[in-house]
Amino acid sequence: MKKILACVASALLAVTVSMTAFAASGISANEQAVLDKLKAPITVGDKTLTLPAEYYNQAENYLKQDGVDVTDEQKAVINAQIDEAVATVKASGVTDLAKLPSDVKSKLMTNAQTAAKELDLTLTFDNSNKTITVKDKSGNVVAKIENVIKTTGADTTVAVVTAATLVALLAGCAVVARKSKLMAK
Amino acid sequence: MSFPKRKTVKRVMAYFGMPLLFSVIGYGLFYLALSPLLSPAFSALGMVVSDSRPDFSDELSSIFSPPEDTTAAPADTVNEKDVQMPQYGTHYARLQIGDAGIDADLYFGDGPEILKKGVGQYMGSFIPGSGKPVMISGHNNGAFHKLQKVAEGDTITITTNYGVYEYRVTSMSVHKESDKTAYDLRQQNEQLILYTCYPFDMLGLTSNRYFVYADKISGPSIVSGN
Amino acid sequence: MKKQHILRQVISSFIAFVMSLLLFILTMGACLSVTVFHRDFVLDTLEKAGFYDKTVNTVLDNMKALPGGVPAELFDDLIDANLVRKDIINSVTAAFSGDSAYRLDLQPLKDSLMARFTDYAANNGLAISEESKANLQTLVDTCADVYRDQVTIPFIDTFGQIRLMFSKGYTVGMVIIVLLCALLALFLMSIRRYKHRGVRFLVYSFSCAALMTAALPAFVLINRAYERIHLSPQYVYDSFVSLVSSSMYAMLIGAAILLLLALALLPVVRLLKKAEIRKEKAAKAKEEH
Repeated sequence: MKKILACVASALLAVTVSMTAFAASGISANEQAVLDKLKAPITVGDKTLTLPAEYYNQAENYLKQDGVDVTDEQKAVINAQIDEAVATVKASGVTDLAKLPSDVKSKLMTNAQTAAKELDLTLTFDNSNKTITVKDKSGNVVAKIENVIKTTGADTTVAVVTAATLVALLAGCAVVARKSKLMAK
Repeated sequence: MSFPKRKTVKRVMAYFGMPLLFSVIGYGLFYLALSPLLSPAFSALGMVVSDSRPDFSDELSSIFSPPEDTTAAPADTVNEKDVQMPQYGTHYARLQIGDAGIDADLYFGDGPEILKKGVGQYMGSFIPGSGKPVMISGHNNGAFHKLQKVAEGDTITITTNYGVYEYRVTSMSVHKESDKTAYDLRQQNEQLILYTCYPFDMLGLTSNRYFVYADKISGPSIVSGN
Repeated sequence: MKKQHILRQVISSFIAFVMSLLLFILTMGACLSVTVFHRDFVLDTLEKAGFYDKTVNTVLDNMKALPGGVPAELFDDLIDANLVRKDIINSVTAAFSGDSAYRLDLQPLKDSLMARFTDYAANNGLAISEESKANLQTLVDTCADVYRDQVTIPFIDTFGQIRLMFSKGYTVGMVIIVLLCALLALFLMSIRRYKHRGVRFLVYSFSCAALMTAALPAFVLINRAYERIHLSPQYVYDSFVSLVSSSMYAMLIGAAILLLLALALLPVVRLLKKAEIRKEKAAKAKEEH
């Protein structure tokens, strides 16, 4: 669950945003098209997987920011990236995190990295509270990969995978699973 | 140039040219041999390296200024172009629960640095007026210590730059932190969800959270400008 | 004759090229073994970046922020930099030696915390029910988790595995490479009639190895991409940046040593050439007689 979601979330979150020179707030038609694609369920075998609401909502909130907009060209690129990531997950036929093949994880991570680089996004790993933050090139937080319910003081629970994913890839190994229940059925 | 001099020049050039040639071929071979191993690593590394150094400043910004004219009749809608969407760590509103004596700065985001200063709206929820759930957390030994005094029917007021929102408390309940049935972030209703650690004023820590749910009763809905 | 000369040149070039690759691998291996793959180097770098003191602050801040119903003062002086240093040294040593069974001993910390909490309750007339006891234990356990999370260097286990793979093959590999280089040098000299020309090819090897060893760190240090890595908090970032830059400078030193060896061989080329010229002149004179 986590692995798939983490990889998909990383890829899909990375592809949902872009920066252009146009100052616009609200959700444009192009942005809505991207959000609709993100919201669409993925069927793998007899299981239906969806992106958890917290990630989708974070993408929507970011797209509403002033100065964040999606052109027709960017919509095409973003949707293509989402389609590719979804196809990769579907083709794997795997819904069990532990069984996700390393080449699939690697593909998703490469997909996420390509999209993130194209859209000037960076991941920040915060060791003090074990969270991953997705930021745009201005340093604005796009999304945070962490547990929804905090300890309302210090979030000491280990958040998501992607740090371990990065480590595993850095070692040339398969993505390592971490805790975090993410996948909604 | 005489023959011995030409030979010397050739020899000197060889001292630079040969190592350069070997280096180019050598790096080419290493690239071919190691790229399948290194390229996923570089892909991953590329995601955490940006064009600029990281910013470690933990100062929180504010875009909130309380409305000057509180006597004018509240509007039913507000154009989204008139709403400045807050970014993570931005103080953008004020949350008050008069009956319980709660008055706190509301920030966008709910990281530890934010909860030290006030209450934080989870980034996976929405700002007031969006017509979608607003989820806010705070310390039970800080801004939300008096959340235990909130009762059904109490009014919660969130004042933003673009409007004043009121919510009526409908229920309170205790859930485990991992219980995802405690909240619905997909709903298309503007439900206000406040939560904090539970129990209050007790020694020790539990995995329980105290939730207060409220429905919107007034405040302008954010509408598209198109 | 000309064919033989060309063949000799090609073989000499190839041997010199292979030798340069081996010298490059030898130097990089040596640099890694004294920098990022050396336990004391890593620990010293952490010390210089203030990792231990700042970890103490982060641990205490995170513990104090827990809504445990106890005053923040109860956590003052709970841990210090020496404790953090000791635990980090142990965990790095365990990771580097592949000891996957190693676990931080958190019991003394837990006992200290529980004692402080129960003393506080007793001094303030607070009764501790069974439920409170259980909640206090959860608080103690959570605090211990906070401590463990912060003293565990990010990615150290995976890095330790890489280091272990490296160290297993390192000594044997280095010996083999040195032997191979010696054999190649001997072979090179044996196929050259004029030994100074053989030594010239050795100069090419060392120069090439120096260039290859310097190219990567020079690129990294000029580009400074490692300073744009997004790790936080700042002391974790500073530690990483320091580790990377120190390793790059070590590689530059390795490249400089190779270059010095290459330069040291130049007078040898000249001396051998002069000796051969003298030898040929003597042989010619003898023939004429």
